[in-house]
Amino acid sequence: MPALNQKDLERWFLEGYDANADIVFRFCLFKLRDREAATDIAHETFTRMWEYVSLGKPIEHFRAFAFRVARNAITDYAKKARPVYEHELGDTAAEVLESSTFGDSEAYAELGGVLECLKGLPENEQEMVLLRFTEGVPVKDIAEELAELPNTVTQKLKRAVQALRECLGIMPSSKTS
Amino acid sequence: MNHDIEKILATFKNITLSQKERSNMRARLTLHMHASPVTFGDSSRHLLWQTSMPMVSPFMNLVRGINKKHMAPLAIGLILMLSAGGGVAFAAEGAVPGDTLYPIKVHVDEKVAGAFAISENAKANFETQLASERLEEVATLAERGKLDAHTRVDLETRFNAHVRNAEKHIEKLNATGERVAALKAEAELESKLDMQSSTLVRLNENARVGTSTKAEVRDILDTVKERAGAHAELRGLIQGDMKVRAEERGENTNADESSSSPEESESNIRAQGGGTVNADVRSDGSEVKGAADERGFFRIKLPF
Repeated sequence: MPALNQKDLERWFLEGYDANADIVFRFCLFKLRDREAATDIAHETFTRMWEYVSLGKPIEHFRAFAFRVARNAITDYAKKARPVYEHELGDTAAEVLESSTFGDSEAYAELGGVLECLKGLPENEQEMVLLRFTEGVPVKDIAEELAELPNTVTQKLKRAVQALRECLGIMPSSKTS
Repeated sequence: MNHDIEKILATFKNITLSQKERSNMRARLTLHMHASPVTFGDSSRHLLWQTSMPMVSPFMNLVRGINKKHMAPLAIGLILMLSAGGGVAFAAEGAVPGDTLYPIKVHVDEKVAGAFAISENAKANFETQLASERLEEVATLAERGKLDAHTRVDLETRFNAHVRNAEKHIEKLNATGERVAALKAEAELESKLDMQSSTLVRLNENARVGTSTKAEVRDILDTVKERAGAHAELRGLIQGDMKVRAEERGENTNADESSSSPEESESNIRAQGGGTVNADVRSDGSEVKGAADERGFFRIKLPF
């Protein structure tokens, strides 16, 4: 984090926003299945982060902190929203993705299926999988951000991919992550 | 089906915010950063986003907000108010910095009036009124030749604080989906800033006003213009937001069609304080102008 003055902090924060806006939005979209709500919660996430840093509190890893704040914002959003019953939940992940700006409809189905299965994994494994395979973050960086050992991250990623294969009914292959 | 899960997950990266969504969010964030500047050491502000915090009575807030150093003039003011049946408080309304009754005006009159502004909308309009009041005080002092650098800085700080508070309430209105109310409050704030800005410009052109006073007026005028510019941007964002969301819901955004929804298509803006007030409301591609009628009301058909 930069020296504690308004201008430097604003510049640093907006750089963090530019680098992570899409990542946080995708994380919210994955969790909420609703593009409009995901956009609102992404905005809420950065607003809350600013409230935090403007009090002089440090953020060590911008992206990891953004994920944590986004998770809390999603929980608050879910608490405030009226209960949604399964039969009302029309959009599957694939349908949500289809309504997004994405071209290939076969890809929707495949990605939608993987994301549905990903929701069944523990929270920190979901994040690891998205960071590694969607955002392309190196294992070493993920380990540092999530305060884990690199070997632990590698093991968890392998286990997560295996769990996703099982969920999707894909036969084990010789290729591993 | 492609069995390579890693490759499938990599395609998720193709889903992004649109350019417009990203820049709108950034602009709103920037405004929020200006409205909530760095206040190191003030550990109370983070409570703003703890929705579970217990409700505190506005009257308790009023009592807590009174600074100890103002206790003496307040005590005198209260005694006078009680003995004069509110006459002092009334007399304090026209006070300017340097007047004996000015502390009563800002620490009693305004705090009491503020305690009755309960809704976000009322709070936004109240803060707008106070921001405008500070600029009127600048004008009054400049006309009397009593505007020095110290007073100008003090009034400018208070003005900025009121505008920031109004912005926070407008932002809350917008965030809770009350976009028509947010737009009205935004229009009110922008209109007041424009009106006071014109007064200050006229004052600066007045030959009877001294050079040093004009320098102070110019300084505060720059601040007011900067704020007004930011608000034109914020209003554009709220309007854009409403339009985008209406389009996403599949609603017809044509002005003729929208007239069937009076809540969204019409706006009553109270022109406070009498006199002639003009306003123009701009959307992306169109502009509507209006003027207050003899009762001080605008009726503008918004083009969305």
